Amino acid sequence: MNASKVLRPKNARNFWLMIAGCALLVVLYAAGSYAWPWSPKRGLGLAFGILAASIFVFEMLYPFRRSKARPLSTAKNWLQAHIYLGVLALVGVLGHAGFDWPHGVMGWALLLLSLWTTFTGLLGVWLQKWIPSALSDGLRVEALYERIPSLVQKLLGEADNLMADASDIVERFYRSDVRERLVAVSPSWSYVFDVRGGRERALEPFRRMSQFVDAAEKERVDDLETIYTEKMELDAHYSLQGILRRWLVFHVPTAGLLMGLLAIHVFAWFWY
Amino acid sequence: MPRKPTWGTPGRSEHFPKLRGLYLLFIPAVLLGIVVFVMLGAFQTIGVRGPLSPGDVTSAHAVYDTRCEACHVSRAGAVSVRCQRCHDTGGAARLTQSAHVLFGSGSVTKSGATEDLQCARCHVEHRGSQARLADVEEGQCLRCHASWRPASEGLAYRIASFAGHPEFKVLRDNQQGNPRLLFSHKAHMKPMLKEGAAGEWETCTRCHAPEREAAARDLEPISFEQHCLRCHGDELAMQPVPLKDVQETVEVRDAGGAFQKTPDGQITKTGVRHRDPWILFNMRKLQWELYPEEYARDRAAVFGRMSQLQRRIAQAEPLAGIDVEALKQREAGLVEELRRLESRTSQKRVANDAAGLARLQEVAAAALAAADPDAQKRAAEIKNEAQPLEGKTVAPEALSVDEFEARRRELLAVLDALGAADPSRARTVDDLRRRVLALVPGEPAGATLQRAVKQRRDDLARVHDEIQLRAAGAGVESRVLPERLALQLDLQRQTEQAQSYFSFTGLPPALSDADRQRKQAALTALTGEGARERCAKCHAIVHGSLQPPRPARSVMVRAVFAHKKHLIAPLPQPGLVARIKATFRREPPSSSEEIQRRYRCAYCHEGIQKAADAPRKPSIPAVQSCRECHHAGATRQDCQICHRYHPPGVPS
Repeated sequence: MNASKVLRPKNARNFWLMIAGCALLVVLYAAGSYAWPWSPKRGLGLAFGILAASIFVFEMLYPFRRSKARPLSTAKNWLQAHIYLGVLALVGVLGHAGFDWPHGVMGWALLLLSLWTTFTGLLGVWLQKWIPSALSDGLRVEALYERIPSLVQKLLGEADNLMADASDIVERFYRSDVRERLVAVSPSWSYVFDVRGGRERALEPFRRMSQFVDAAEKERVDDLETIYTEKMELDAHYSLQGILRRWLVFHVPTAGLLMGLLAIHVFAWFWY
Repeated sequence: MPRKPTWGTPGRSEHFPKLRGLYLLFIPAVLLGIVVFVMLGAFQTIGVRGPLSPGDVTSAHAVYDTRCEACHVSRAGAVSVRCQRCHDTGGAARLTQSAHVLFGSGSVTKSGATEDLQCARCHVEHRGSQARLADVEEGQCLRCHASWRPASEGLAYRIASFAGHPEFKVLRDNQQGNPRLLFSHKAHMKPMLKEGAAGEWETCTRCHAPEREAAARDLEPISFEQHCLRCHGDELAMQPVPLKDVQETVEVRDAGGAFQKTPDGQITKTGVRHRDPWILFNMRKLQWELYPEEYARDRAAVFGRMSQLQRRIAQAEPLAGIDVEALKQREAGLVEELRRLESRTSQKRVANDAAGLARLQEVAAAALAAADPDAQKRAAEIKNEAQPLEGKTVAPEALSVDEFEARRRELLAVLDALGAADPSRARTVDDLRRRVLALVPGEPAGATLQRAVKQRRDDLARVHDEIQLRAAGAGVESRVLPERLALQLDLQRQTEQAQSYFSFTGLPPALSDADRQRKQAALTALTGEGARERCAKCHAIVHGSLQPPRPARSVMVRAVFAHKKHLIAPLPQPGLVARIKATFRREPPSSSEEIQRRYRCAYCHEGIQKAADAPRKPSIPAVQSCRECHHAGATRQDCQICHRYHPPGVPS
């Protein structure tokens, strides 16, 4: 899948609305800071802060999209709003701070967490678009992430059955070089760069072996090779789907932390 | 049969796969947020407030870094009273927006109508320990003074940038100052140039030397002893005066000199020096006898100033340094004072525009109650004059400034007589004198009263705030008012002046024409009044009244100009446009002659060397000349570089 396809927004109208919203915020900031001294405590500066905080609260409600409360009609709409409003909120945060560096620990923490959460979110969007397409384009097998370990066990069983009455040489080859790789899922970062990465080298011993065995054994070796290929594809699935699930670890807890700090920030503004 | 490679999903699952929990990450994330909130909230409660702070405070405020309540009031933010607790302990409200408007416009009405601003609006804290609170964003000035603000708001200066800065007021209005000094630059500079001073620079700096300290910004002040004595020392000698018109010996400080008496009843003092106490004492004595109204005005000005300073110093006792009992007493006093002021504002006679009538009646009533028959007589006259004004609306412009000043002098003379006749009324007289001096021609008395009410309310708010702080656990803290020393020195000076030269009280004895002529001759012999010699050679003396000189007073009132910086700073590069133009025209950017020309004193003070008198019109160039260096991309051109927002700590 080429980069332009990955980067192309799913809904162009929403994308351009977001760009327009960001541009509007920047123009408002430029005009506001030219006309009045910019302060996060009053006027437009405060409005930017309130806008960003409100959007952050909405963003935090994202897990509830699956329940019956769907003001945005579909989960897809909610996701679109989650992504684009999130970017808008970041611009709101920057505007609230007057596009200036913060001065205190709290300010830095809020800014860095906002940046981190937004960028991990955008990374997630990219992964959600790129990984499924890379998997469907590059692999034959499709599997649910949760099923992969059992599927691997099933392949191991199939391979063991296949090798039950194999010749000594083939069985030895299976026991020494193949079986241990079929025992468990083997996720690898190399699949991030190429879902079929390392396959030719891994299958080379099978091809060599099939040259030294008779026709019946050759068919057995070929079958083992397809089992092994399937296992490798499941490994690729497991690796990339694992990334799809785990990037949230970098996104959601920091979002919770951001909400905690935001609550304190709002309290401090209100109280002091 | 060979095994078929799998395409798509490899068969149905034997069991329903256990999917990831719906809120697997969301719930821990929310819990994490709650934990952080509770933790920081607990920190705040136990006093660890660093993490909550939006940024470090300036190093001067470092002691309050974690004591938020020192500056912040719950649900009100960083309020001005907390700033004033240290920075304006005198309660003069000098640092408020209304003081700024009064300072700028001189109008009590405008000042009273202005919206109050919190200090924190312009002086933004929590910008790091190295930040300077005095550095105010330019936009804060433009908030009111921007060119797009409607003219109906009545602001004289509406500018968008220095390029649009209006001409200096003194030049625009062609104002004439009164330097109160008779001085010819021409007469002084010519001989210096003749005797070989190395050009104009050396000639000017013989008197106007740049201050020596590295941090100094301006020129050394001129002093008689240092700059004039060498040539003019002999001219101070007095002419003989009749012994009966002067007091031979007076208890004045450092009187010095010696007296010579002649057989025909004349006396001369030898060794007269500048500001000679004996001369000044007898000048006031003769002024009292000859011009009692002028004497009363000058005396009242000194006593009024003393009273003002005493009040400022008394108020300057920082609230933070007073115990709770004293605070409560002050609160009670202010409540009572406010009640009295409010009852006065509610009276119709004060609420209307009959400016001063109430005060006039007040003075007359006080004088009538005195034991002195002269004071009673004058009071009855004032009352009779005031009678027809009762119930009438008098427009503030009904009195011309001269007429107003004459009335003021009259009132001050009455108060003077009253104070002398009945010392038990000294405090009332003091208060009335201060109030009479505070009156501004054309300003409705109601506005002045409203201002007083507002001041008392502000004072009361500060006392309440301090009591509240103490209740919250704040202790007594010692504070030093930065201008207190200057105020005390000024008071000491005024007190010495009052004691030395204004000891004559009551009405002077009536003079015959012959006595009057003789005494006028004596005044001339002492001071040179009317003859332009002795003191009057340089000082403007009218009816025995010698006012201290105030050069350049009308020029730099609300702005500062650092001569030294302008004399020694390197010439800034011309702006980008000028450089491009110069390149196209094949002109050198600036020659050394041009630099020399600019650094001549006469570059700004053109024609000063030919001035035969102390300049009444300011000898300064138009604002355009400032723009030669202060333009975009070159030297700073923000408001703060020249203008002062706050009035000075020690009012002149």
